[in-house]
Amino acid sequence: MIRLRLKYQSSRLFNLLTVIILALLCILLNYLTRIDFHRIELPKDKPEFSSTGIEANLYTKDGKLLYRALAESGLQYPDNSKVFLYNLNMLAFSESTSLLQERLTSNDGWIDTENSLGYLGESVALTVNNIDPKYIINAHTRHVHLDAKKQFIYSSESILATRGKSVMTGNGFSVDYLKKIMTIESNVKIVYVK
Amino acid sequence: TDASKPVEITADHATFDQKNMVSVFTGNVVITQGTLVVHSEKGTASQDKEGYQTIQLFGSPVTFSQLNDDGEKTEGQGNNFQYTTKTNLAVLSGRARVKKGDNLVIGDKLTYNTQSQIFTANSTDANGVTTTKSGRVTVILQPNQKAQDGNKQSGINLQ
Repeated sequence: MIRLRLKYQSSRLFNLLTVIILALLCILLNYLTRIDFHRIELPKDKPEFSSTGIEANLYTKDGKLLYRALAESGLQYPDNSKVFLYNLNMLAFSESTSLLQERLTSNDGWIDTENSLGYLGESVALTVNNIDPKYIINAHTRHVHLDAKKQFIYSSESILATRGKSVMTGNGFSVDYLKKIMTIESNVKIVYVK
Repeated sequence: TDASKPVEITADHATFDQKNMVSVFTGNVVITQGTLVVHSEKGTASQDKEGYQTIQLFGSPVTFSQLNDDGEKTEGQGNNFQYTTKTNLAVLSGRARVKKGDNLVIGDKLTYNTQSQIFTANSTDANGVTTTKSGRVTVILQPNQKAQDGNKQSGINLQ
């Protein structure tokens, strides 16, 4: 009769198994201690944070207001680096004159706090101010993607821009703020009135 | 007059370089101002530091047509067209031809000064190369149909 001799074949095998199990337990314990049990309970489709009357300001070294971001409300979902904002109003001020230079508004949008990307959804309106009202630029579009690091925005939607009586329309556009180059992808139409 | 009318530009694609003050239009570029209609494949509009503007059009060819105040039609074509406000010169070059009413001018480089209204025709382009068959300027002036009443003077001041 063959007796199962493996049973107590070697204490070395037993020790090896013990070490492996203990290691696994340590890893599991380490992982367990990092879990925020509070978050586990949160449903993914419900916001973790929300806020109303949001205002954020950015100043220059000598205390001049450079940027102001306002939003009627905002929220953030669990484990999501995007902050969703509603009724956005972003203002940029001239560093030299402190006058309002640009205003960007949108019904909705989000900002990804991890990679500085952003998105503006519906009713996006941009106003570029000018001392001479004739040269104030107004642009209307939607679904705009923003890359704050590259200072680059683009959309595949149509755009309508006016400056005084002059009008420009097109489909799909991009703006490279660093190079100061704007591109309209198709269906360009400009009516230039002196 | 056309000059007081809005300028309308349509194209397939456009780029505006605000830093260098250059706009580039490509793909089926059509420029309209009143009765003036220009067709080209590519167009650039630029402004120098002193504020002078230059328009350049490239096509195979660039074509234009315009109704004059006297009701006569002027039309023309050429591979390149350039107009700059610095010199008020409109230059049509590269197998260029301009037809005004029944009068016709053919040459390598046709220049029109919008201020002095002087029109010049050259048989060779800037590089001394001629693209016309004869290598010379050709001007065809039709006898004036209304010679009797003598009040209609049309013709081209040859230089």
